[in-house]
Amino acid sequence: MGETLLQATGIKMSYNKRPVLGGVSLEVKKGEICGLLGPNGAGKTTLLGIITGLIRPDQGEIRLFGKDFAPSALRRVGCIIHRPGLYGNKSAAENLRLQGMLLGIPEDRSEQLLALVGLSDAGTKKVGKFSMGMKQRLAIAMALMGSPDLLILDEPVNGLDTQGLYDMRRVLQTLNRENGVTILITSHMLDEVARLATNYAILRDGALRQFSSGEVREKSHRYAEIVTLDTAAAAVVLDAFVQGEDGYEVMPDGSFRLYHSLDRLPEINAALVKVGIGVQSLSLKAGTLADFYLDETGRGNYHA
Amino acid sequence: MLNLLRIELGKLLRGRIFWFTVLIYCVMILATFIPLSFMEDITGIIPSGLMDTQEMEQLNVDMEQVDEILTALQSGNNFVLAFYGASSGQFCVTMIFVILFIYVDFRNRTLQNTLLCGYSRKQVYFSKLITGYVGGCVYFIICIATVCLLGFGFYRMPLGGEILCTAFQLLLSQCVILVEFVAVYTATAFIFGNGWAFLGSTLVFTLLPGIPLISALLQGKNQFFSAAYMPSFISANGVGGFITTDMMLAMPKLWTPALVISALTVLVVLTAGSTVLGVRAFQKKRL
Repeated sequence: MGETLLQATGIKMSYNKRPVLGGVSLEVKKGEICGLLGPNGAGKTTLLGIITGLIRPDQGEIRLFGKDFAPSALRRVGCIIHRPGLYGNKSAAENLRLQGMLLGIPEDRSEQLLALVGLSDAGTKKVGKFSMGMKQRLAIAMALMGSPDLLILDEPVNGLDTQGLYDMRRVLQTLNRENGVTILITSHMLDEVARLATNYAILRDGALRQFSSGEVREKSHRYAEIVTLDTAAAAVVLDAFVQGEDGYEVMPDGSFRLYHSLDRLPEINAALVKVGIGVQSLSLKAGTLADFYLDETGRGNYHA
Repeated sequence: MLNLLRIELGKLLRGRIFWFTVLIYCVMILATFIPLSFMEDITGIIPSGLMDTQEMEQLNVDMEQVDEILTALQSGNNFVLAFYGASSGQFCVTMIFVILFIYVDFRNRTLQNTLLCGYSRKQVYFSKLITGYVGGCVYFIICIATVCLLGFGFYRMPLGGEILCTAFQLLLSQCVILVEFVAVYTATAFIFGNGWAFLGSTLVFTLLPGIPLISALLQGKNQFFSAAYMPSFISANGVGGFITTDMMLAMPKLWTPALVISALTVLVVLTAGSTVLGVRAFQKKRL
């Protein structure tokens, strides 16, 4: 870690006078996998579009590989922005060959890349007949064509099946660990991002905040899981300890998730036992990335 | 840039749009050359296509009109007219091709892909402009070849050195004129791209008579005028009617120095103006 590959500073952008990005700054260092998160419409794709020069910002500057943005720098970047640009009337192999020609790569790497993303059997099939997941796999293969130093992937796992998700995760992890490829990835599948990312950037209301995975672990919302034999009676006891609507929630299986008063768990346990409620288990759980994300972006009706 | 141009030219030659428009254009040329105005009098008798003189005589076709066409097409000067008649649709076909060629890349997001491969917007713009121009020149070559073949095969036009020399001159002059048209079409496609290309093409359709009209006002009766208004003359007066109009008198003026200078001025202004506008619009476009 150290060298900054991507630096966006003070990016401002508005659509029809509605501000989308209000002075956003982002830094991605070599070797990182940065998960860019945010609610729908937060401006993630816009920010990636600005970083890759597809959108001109109202204000701000982009530096790639330590230099001011220049289109030629994108030859070292593999991108999937919004939805992949593919020729529907050409086969997957032809699309890859064309991408190779655009990047000025003399050797044909299409077979190797098709095998990497699990499309070996579909190499000659017209892309127009591909499913969304297959298109996404091909787009990833195209992004990898130029052996990039930096991968910018906007929702790359959309439409992928379980096997596809596993394969993609494996490919991205291998690229990062063995080839040192730096990755900036957005996805609404927070579990996948959590398994990949070394740090996070959360975009909301036009502002961006960056966190390391350690910070996320530390700050993520922990909770206690309580399993009792009498849910209704236990709820009465919990009400006495936990104030407010978002203090705990009852899960579909009748267990409780307690978010507040975690330091009073022994007292709560004793109170439940005292009134004769059988406590099957009581455990402290670490928060997930989803919990952290929801805390950062505002939980809204999450506990409702 | 050369790499990008090579890819774009490859797309042109392997693209369905191009060959489809070539096919449409060939049909248009054939339709221009089939003398519908006198064939309509012999409904139900003509089996199909073009006929030779003997066949027409047997079918009681108005031979006065046929002679007029044959005479016209047998002279080099009227080869020019025949070419203009056939090439009248060429600007429309080029427009459809250029706009669709760019629009498809917008729609498929393959234009964005090209930019993400490290090419600048100017490079992308000029590669499209040059490819569109090459496509337009191919239409002209097809047009000249078709006119020669039809004239030689069906109208007994002599394929001598004079005709070929005229054909070369025509090709050269039209390829020069084509620069401004392709520049306008390319700019329109980039300005209205991202789904608005068809609106753009409609606008250009509207502008198409406007461009030659401006030129006509500046230069008198010239090649723009004849190229743009040929179809209406043919539909109003038939092929024979067209050949006998005073348009013929305008044609010798085609090569006068004053006309060439004014035509070149219009060409430079339109080409440069539309290209600057197109490049600026594309550079500001959110993709």
